[in-house]
Amino acid sequence: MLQYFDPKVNPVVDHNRDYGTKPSLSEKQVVLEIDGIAIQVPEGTSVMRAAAMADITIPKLCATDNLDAYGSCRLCAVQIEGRRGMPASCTTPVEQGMKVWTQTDALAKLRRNIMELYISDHPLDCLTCPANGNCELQDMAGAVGLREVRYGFEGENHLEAPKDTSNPYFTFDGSKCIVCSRCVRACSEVQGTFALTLDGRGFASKIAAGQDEGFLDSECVSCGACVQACPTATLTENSVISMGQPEHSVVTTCAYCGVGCSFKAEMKGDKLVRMVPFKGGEANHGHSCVKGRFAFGYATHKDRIRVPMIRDSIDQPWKEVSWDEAIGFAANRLRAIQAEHGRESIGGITSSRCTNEEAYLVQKLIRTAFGNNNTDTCARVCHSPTGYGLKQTLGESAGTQTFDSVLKADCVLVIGANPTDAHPVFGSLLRRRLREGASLIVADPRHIDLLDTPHLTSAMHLPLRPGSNVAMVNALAHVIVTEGLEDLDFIRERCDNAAYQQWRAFIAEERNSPEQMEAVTGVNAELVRQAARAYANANNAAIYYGLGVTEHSQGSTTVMGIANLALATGNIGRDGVGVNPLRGQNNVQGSCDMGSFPHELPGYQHVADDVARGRFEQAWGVTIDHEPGLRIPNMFNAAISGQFRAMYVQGEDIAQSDPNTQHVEQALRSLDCLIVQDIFLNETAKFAHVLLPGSSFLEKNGTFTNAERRINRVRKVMPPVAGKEDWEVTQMLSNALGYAMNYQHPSEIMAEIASLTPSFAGVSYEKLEEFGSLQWPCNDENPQGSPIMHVESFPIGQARFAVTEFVATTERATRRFPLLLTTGRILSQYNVGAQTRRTENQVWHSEDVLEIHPHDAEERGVKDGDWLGISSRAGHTVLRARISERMQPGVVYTTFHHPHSGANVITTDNSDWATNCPEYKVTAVQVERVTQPSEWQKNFHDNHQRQNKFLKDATTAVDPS
Amino acid sequence: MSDKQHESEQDHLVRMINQIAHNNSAAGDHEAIADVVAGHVKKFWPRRMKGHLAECLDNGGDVLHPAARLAGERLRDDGHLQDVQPHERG
Ligand code: SF4
Ligand code: SF4
Ligand code: FES
Repeated sequence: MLQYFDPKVNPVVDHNRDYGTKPSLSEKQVVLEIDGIAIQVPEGTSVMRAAAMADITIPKLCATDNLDAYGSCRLCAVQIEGRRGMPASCTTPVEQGMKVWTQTDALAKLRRNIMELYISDHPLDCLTCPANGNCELQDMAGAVGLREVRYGFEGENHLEAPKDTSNPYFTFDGSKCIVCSRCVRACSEVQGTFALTLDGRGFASKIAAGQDEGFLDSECVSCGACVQACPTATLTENSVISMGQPEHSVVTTCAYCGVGCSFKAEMKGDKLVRMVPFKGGEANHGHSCVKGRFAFGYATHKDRIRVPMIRDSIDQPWKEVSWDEAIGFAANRLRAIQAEHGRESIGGITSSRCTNEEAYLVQKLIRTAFGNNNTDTCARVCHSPTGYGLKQTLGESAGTQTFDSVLKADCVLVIGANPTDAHPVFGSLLRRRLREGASLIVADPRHIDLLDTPHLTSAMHLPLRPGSNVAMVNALAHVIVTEGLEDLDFIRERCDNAAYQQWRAFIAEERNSPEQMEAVTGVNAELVRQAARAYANANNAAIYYGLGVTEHSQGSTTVMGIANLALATGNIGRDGVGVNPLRGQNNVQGSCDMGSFPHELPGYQHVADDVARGRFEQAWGVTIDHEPGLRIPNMFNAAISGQFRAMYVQGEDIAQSDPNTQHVEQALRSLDCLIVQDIFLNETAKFAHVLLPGSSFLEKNGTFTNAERRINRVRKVMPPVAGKEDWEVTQMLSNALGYAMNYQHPSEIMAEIASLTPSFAGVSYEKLEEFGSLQWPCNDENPQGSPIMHVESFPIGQARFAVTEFVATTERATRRFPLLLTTGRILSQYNVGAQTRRTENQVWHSEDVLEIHPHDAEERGVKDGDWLGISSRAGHTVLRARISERMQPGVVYTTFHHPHSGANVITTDNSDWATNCPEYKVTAVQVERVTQPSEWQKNFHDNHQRQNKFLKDATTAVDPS
Repeated sequence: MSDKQHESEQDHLVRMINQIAHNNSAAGDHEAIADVVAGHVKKFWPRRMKGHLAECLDNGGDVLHPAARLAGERLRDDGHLQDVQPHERG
């Protein structure tokens, strides 16, 4: 008999559906039949997932598709031809020719019995339950046709189990728990924290956080993966408890860090109920951290600036005005200043928090309406050495991999980065790989949490002295070269020979050996040798680095040294390897790509390049200066000496984030016109004459580019509080200055970017809709973008080794300043903290503290919690002490999330030799016990009070008629 | 403009260009290092800094690293430091 055979072949995945188990990556295909429907799926797929792919829903409770199958609830039982019993479909893999039945009388009876048992120990308050309308237990009771519960509630039960409300964002209601352990598995498998456990056995089993100490006091990092995994109301967002279930959702991108997680913003009208990480997001695959998922309350905080404001001098109260008046005021001042002091007397700063389109527009405004190249961005103070160092060696100013690439790495070298705090979702992915057996090498002055990853197989810590990165990277390379561990084929084929020979001769010199460098790095030479061997001998070895590399006087040199390591061992151009900068702010990559630096047009095209500049001149209809403009530190110096008089700052808080605060404040006070566009009265705005309300990422359309060069869409879910998206404000200012801009939507700005920037040539909003995201370079050769870079060749043809001479920083411990201060960040707060400080995240970090080693503390008679005065040659501030052994003696550590901490009052004006990125990571200091805040803090406090009063007393000049 | 401020900006610039020279000392002799330094200054420094470098050279440039000084002199001789004031256009 002739059979028509037409199986459904790997249908497109719907990211809003739960397929019950993870996808199989096998290439081999298997055909089976489920309820008479033929389907073809990859080998290794579970029967449950295969059924879901054929649009057949098998009841389930303990399975969900981001966790390994567990097989505990048995609700997903099926019958398989030729097999006895009723196996669980979530734990049964498909087989060629299998015939599966998902709905039979026997299955129906079994499922009803199972549900009956669950419900007999479950409160029946569905109507008033926060999960009503979105509860898998309720759905399953309906699906199996449960009609009666014979057991009654009199027996022993859990209905009185207490609630845990210690976490500010979610509630644990033990009475509703069905002990499916999805939360426990999410915590270990997805997040990698292992804070939740299943305590006790059988009937007595229950979910416990930590040692049963409650969520807040446990190791829980509040990522919310458990809340997302829970099929019942047991773990529920407090926002859902108070507002009810959302009714629609919009996919957008987190604005908190360089991971760039995709989220579904789940809404009720224009109110955001909750953020749920989007499974289709390529950067995060449905996971997130506490900031992205929960810390969105700042968007509706009462402190938001809602109306434009102006004032003649910073000693006056603000005056509320209309948009037109504020923009007119700003434009008049800018023109008057240029008329008197010259074209170069004004400039601006683009934002790494705003969208690509907004950063592009600000630099365009500066290069056209302002008529100069005085544009810079906060990336100056974080990752400018990455741009420089990678461009010199690999030919492109960006990381080489996707985040997922780490899942193929066998050895991971982390230098000066703290991914579990600063890039949490990537940190979780990395931890997963470490649990699977990859080895870890951490080169960092501090014992970072990654070293405490549960189930770590092999880890090494190289606790180097702050300021010795180049010495360390050179020592590692020395071992690779002198012990014959190089990948000579790769070097011969892919690298410039002359540069290689020069580098090789240099690095092989005895002075670069771990033994010689031990005096500089403070790290045992044998340990360095072991690390070098582990890195060089791994099949796939990947380097991840962060601000602990870049924010040094030799930041650029270290980046080049890192690229040397990868080149020498052939760890470039495929999955599992590479050079990966972990970027700080959400759109640092994007703001750099968009031409924010004074010497580069969008796409890293130098202003002196006549051809590139010519194209922009033609498109923009202006003459563009061929000389680089002022960088941020130049602007400050020029302001103090009176030649630079006005500045337009969008979405950055330079008064808090830049080094040597007192110098910065002096510069800002010297300006005749400071225009600040921000969502709050930030520290910079306290020195402003024009305050333009900014819009949060929830209030605008655009794109962000994450640390993998991935361009993700940002979508508007609510109207801007002051009526305008940030790009619209820039456009108004440009028009008021007489340079016409007339974009109707950010997609038109992207079209212009694509037309002028070769690496973005293939990017459009239509394509972003189609593919979800695109990794640049995206052009004719790579129409769907480039996940891994330098696969066949480098943009400069052959890669160039760079000679990386170690030059000690001038910032050294001395008798007067015997300790080295280094700075960092923590999970719950973001950057200068303007957003996170206005959320419940404060419960985890309400102040910055100074971590000091017990030895140094004892020498100074310091106890935990004492007030400590910290002085450097730049300034003095006061913080509370925390005794900690995470650093070696001689090194102290703090974060910079709170402005009154004044961490940058003490950092100096030392900077990276190539890019002027400040040396935040090394400041020589002295520490002593004190009883009162510093002079700067007192002044800060006074000014804070005064400026807030100016804001409160803002008079309205908007015509009421 | 306060002299002190100007002086310290000047000092800072000297520190920076010397830093560039030190970090590229492996390039070879002073000539070779000067090539790198000159290339860097030309490519990345704004007119303001180039102008200060010119002033520094006018004062003898003794505070400069020999290669940095050589680089500065070359840039000056090639006219790259002269364009101190932006030409007013349009
Ligand atoms: S809290 Fe939720 S996810 Fe965890 S075991 Fe209970 S029902 Fe399952
Ligand atoms: S890891 Fe970064 S991008 Fe992802 S949710 Fe957290 S802050 Fe947002
Ligand atoms: S869903 Fe398969 S056993 Fe629970």
